Amino acid sequence: MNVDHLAGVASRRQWLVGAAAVAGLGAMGFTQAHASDAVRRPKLTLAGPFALVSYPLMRIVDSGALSDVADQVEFTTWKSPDQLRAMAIGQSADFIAVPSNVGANLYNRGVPLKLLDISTWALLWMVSRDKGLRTLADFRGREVVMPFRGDMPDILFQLLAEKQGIKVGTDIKLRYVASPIDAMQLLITRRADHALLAEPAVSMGLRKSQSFPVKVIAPDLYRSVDLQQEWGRVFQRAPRIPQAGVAALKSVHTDAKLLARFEQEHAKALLWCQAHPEECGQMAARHVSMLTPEGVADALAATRSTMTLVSAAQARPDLEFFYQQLLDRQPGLVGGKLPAGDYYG
Amino acid sequence: MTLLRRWLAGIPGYLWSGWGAVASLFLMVALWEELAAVYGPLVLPAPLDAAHTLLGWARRGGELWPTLEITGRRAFLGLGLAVGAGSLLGVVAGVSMTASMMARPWGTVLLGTPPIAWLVLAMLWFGTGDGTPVFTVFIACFPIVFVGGMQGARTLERHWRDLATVFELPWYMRVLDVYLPHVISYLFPAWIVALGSSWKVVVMAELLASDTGVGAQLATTRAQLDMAGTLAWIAAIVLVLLALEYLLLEPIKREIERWREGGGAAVEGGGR
Amino acid sequence: MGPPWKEAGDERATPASGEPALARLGPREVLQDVSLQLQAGNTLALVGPSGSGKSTLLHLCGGLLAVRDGEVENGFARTAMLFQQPSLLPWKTVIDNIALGLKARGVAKAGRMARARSMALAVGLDELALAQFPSQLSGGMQSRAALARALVLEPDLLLLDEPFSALDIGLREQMHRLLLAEQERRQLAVLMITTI
Repeated sequence: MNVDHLAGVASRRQWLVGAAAVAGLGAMGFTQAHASDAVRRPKLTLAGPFALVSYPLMRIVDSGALSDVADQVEFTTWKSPDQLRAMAIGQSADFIAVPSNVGANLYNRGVPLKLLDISTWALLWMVSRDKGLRTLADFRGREVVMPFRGDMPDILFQLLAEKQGIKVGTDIKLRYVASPIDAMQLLITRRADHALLAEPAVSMGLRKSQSFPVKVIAPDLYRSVDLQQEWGRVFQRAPRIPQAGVAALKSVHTDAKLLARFEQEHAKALLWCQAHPEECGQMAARHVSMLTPEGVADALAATRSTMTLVSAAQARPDLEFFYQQLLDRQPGLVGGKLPAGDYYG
Repeated sequence: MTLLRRWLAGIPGYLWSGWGAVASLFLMVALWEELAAVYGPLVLPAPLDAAHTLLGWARRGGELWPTLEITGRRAFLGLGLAVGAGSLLGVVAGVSMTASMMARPWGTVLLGTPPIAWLVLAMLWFGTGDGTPVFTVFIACFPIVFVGGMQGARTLERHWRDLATVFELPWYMRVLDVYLPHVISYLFPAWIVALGSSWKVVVMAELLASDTGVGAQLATTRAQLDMAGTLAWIAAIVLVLLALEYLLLEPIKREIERWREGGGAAVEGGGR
Repeated sequence: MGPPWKEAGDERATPASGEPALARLGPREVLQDVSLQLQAGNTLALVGPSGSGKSTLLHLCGGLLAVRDGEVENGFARTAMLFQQPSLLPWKTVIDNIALGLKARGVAKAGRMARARSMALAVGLDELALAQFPSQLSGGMQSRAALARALVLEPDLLLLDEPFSALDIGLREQMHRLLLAEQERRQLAVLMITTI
């Protein structure tokens, strides 16, 4: 990414955030948000995975931003699809950060929820020992390590490869492993040369391989092809994929005032994280022991231009395009069909 | 051969007598339906949904049969190795007193170790191919068969050996008419237990370490929150196991039980 | 008439070493200074309190135990034995059990089945019983089958280890009568253990 692009995107981002806030509020029928109008609740639970999308939520909890609408606000993580499902069905979470396809999947399976926004527009990068690889085509004849067989990154990779005329399986070989940690292991121990990973695993892995004692045995690893750029190139669209956002669950999704208030704070928290990557890193590491402050800070730096808050209604065209691509290849990922209108909050 | 003839002849009557078992199964399904109505489709889909999904896979010629074939192949390979090695080694160990004493703790340790511990090792050695599930099944089933064989060889009672001596049975008659049937009467129940075990273990191994097979499909449906799909795969496995046990093994078991327990009241025939 | 057989001299009968199944190790004197003679066509009864070694002596005579000291000479052409339990092979039908000894001798299937059937009828087992498994028969019928199994071999010496002790008086008398009839027919020598 060149600097001009960054600057242009930065100002565009600010416009987008502002527009989203206004548009979101407008869509909910309010021109001003009155803090005192929202009904006070005893407790609000925000849930999310280890990924970037959760950091603004952690910030909201730490800064006490929603203390005017709830006595107690807490953050909790979900680590597996079973946990996620349990939270979605039960009453244990109010706002939940999810990958965008998972949100659609839950909605299509009958979970009452509303997608509020998409905050993460870039997640996937190749990590490689070779410095000079620019596009997926450069990976011809090589083997790529892929965690989570059949999941969204796998499908996206195959989709982008095939749209460029690359045959997966013959031109590029895929080697499936159980988790990103296993993939990183293979890279570090030189048993593999290339892998597809998502942030913050990319940044954390790169950091680890450059730090002592791992760097003694590890080869030089580089952040390689940006899958978002590939997406933009292949589909002639903006280089961004609606990856993850926050959804409101049963207990809150009809409370329009609360949702508006939440979006306000969400936007602020996101801006804070981007402006203070080191502190954000430390905060995230406090909440989740597996994360390292430096790794998180790097991840935030890498996604500076692509972590922007866009309301679900505004993101709908991008979302539907994305969902359709997934539907064509692996319909189970989004629950078999495009979600109906009232999914988009 | 008489056994085979009797088995074939007994099938119609046996199937007819299965009404009781079938009725019981339907009761289970009815209970499932009740719970599904209470909990909703996200926690427990209705049996009809699962059945619909399953039939869909079967009809399209899509995933069901190739997947079952892969899983079945692995299960039977592992089971076959376990049955072969376990029976042979078990009998050999049972014949020798020293070997018996030495082998007993091994049997206990192997039986007590959960297969999942072996799975981790297997993944390191065999990767994600066929090797991991086959190895895990072998390790899980081998001790069952081994202990059965050992017991069979060790308990050959004195008076049958005396019988063989007194009636001057040649060696092949000793083996075929006395030792073999006795040992098999201990091994056969062990084989049945091993069969059930093999299916459970193979699905578990595939769930965690494989890209293909029923277990891998279970992992996918779970990740995609597809409850109906998950239950459909489970139902597929259970149905296969039921079919194997009740169509194939139960008649053989009953035939063997006939001479073991004296099936029914003692008969006081004529001639007094 | 076969030559008499005897065992003479100081004899100690112990479980032979090398029998791994027996737990008794070390010499436990069961018999000492025993000798007997039995001639063809005669009946010899071993009577005594339990634990006096009758069964051991019988097993020695049947060649099931090795003699420590002394000798056992068995000049009879064919010996058969009946144990305290019928010891029929549970996985074979009754008729197959009866024909067992004949099969060991190599008699063809048709022949041995016919002989087994006629002997079974002689001891009072009907066709239905013959087709069943031993566990489906009563104790009395199992004993009869065991007797048939021994007699069908047309032995010259029959060793009996209290085989009819579990039967009621009437049945026991029936068995004894069968034996007597057989003896009359063929000069059968009988060595038997009995408690009365």
